[in-house]
Amino acid sequence: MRRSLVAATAASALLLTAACGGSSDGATGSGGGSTDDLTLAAITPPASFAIGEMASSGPEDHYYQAVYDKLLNLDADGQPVPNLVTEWSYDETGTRLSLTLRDDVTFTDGAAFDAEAVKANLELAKTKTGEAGSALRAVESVEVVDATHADIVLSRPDPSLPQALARSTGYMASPDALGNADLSTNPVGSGPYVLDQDATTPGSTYAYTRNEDYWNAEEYPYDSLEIRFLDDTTATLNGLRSGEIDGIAVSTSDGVSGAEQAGLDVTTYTSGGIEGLYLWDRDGALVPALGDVRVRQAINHAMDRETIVDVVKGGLGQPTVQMFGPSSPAYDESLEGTYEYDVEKAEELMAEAGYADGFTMSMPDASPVAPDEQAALTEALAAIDITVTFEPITGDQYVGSIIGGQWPVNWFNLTTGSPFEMIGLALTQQSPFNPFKTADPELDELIARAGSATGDEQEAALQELNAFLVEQAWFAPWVAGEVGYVTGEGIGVEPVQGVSVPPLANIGPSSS
Amino acid sequence: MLLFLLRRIGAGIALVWVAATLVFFLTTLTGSDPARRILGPQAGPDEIAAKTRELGLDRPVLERYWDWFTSALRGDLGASWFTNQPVSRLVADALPVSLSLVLAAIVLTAAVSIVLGVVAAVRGGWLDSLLQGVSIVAFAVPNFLIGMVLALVFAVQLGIFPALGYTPFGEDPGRWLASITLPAVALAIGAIATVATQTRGSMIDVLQQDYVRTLRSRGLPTRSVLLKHALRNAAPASLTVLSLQFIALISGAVVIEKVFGLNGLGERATAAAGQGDVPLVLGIVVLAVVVVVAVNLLLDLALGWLNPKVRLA
Repeated sequence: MRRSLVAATAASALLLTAACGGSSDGATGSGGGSTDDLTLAAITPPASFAIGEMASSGPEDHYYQAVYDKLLNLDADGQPVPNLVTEWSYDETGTRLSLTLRDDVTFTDGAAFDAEAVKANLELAKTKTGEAGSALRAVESVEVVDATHADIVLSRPDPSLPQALARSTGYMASPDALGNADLSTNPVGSGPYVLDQDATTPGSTYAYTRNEDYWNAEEYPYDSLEIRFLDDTTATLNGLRSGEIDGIAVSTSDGVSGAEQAGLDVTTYTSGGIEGLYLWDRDGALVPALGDVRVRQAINHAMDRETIVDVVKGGLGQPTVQMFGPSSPAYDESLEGTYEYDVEKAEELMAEAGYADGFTMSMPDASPVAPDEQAALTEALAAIDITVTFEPITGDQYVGSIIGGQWPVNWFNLTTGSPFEMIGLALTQQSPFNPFKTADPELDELIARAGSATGDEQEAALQELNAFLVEQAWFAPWVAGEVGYVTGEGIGVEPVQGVSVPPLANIGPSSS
Repeated sequence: MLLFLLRRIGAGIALVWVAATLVFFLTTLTGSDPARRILGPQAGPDEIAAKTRELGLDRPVLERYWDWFTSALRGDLGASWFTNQPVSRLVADALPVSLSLVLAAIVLTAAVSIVLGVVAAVRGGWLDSLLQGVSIVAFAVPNFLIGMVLALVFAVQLGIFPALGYTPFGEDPGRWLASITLPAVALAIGAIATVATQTRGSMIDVLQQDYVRTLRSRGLPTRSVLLKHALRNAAPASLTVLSLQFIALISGAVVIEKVFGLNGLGERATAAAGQGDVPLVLGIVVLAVVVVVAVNLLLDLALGWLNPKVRLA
């Protein structure tokens, strides 16, 4: 047994060494405004680096933005600004988008960035199933005019395209690497950094080193970048406090308040998400009562939005009756007074519609992800005698069952980057989030007008469309969501309104 | 002995197969929609259908099972649905993290609990009572809570250890040890309480045996009586508890890995299960069962070494 005692002693000695070793180099962080390295955390690992397969804009953005440059960028208000594309314009029919490209960009494998590269990337992305594939649905072809000019030819006007090119649809990979079987794990782009495969642990830690030839290097002050997949709040907060993590996006009020309590800097901004009750069954197919606009308006009046935002969302977000967020050109401040919290008024409307005693409807049980939200909506509906039976459903069936037209109404949060994306997703007869294919000639006319107009005229058409949706109570939203970005010591961030995670270029040494 | 070994290995392989098959069919019963999860809420029905075909989920379950099974036999566990990485690489990356953690915890448990158990059994008195009291507390407090407190005090406040992340041994042994120390301690405390109590109990039993009295009366030094004779006879019971603890530690590591942001098997398993990443879940299950079977096999061998009577069984 002497052996075990020796082993025990050795083990204790080893642990003591670890403790001592740790004090000198265990906890190193970039902190203090140094630009050597930046360590960010993300709540998901990257799905795929392949063009057209990258995940929807969100927590995975930084993994991709490090290696891929985008055709356009977004300014602080979420409007497209030049990046690889220096100028862009639609023709008068709105079916041809002409792009002027930078002529000084090369991919890290030596291939040149030119119109051919744009064509190869966009045409490949269009055939894929990712976010880019949906965004490029109206694209018929990409025509190469010359090396620095390309035209995107559309089958119908699509004013949301520049927005999409400033998001994940705009990532450009080397045309020579597009056919690589391993592009999904081995990206070749022209972005500010290069993925360091040796220092990367897939699914866990992604290490990047500077792309020495990057044309816009001053926007990216750090020599190296590390992005860690961390899905535990405690671990993330500990990492931020000890300086091992420099920043992470948080999407819940608990996350924001947790970070604030821990003494960390939290910057909040609109996420582009609109949360509330989505009244799908406007034709009354499942629940005839919902076919009556007065019932839908009554539901809107029954909701105490201020309290919901204060209590349920922890103050994170702005109470709203509109489906377009405050930074959207379709937003109209004056519409906010349309549905004051007024149960009496709601009861009157219900009585007028012949539902003084209320009715019963079923909804998917959202309590596993949104217990407080569900409690709030149950209470609001109960106040006007609408009884809800909640049916159990798994998280990944939730969306599919909505699109399949299983629910008359449910709690939902739809995030869009532009009013045209919202139109495409929820307002046309082809839209996935118009499960009962509700149509209204007035709405269709407004959509067509907004699509073909430009400038102020377009904004006016969008606001008119918005007013129509609010009056007709197609939805009962309650909050234009806000999210936050938490930064460690010495790190600052400039968020983009309506984008859930600030671009990599907007995270840097704090000026203070 | 060889036959015994072969039998155990055969049973182990059968167990791996049964567990993997069970999990495979369980994952088909969840009714989840991986294509929807991968593509996100905004994908259209056509895209969902295309992705479903791409993943092979439109084929009959038995056909999918047979494909997976035959590929797995060839050592190909497929690729993760969500990160496109080969499952073998994902588990190979995660295994050293979990093994480092669990092995460090088990070494710590063995060393500390044997010392504590023997001391408590021999000395008795207030020391014994103290050990028993502390054991109950250590056993009752969940290990993640201990982990959170350790991280807060030693990493965030004092900065002695890193708060999260894992450094591979090959990269820097010092930092490797630093990166697993807090999680290993958090993981080991509950196990120490259990094994120390067990060791104390069996030591007391053995020390009351006639042969110990005989040895003592023949004038053998106390040290030799204790360590050479008594502990060797008390050890099998402790070793059995220790090996059970090893298996418990593997599952306990799931939570601890989360608290310390270590991307080990547990962290991978929970993330994959949450996402419905079936190939990765299956890969981890196979590996975990192999580890458990191997540990049990080693335990049997160790017990046989300590106690020749066991070998006959």
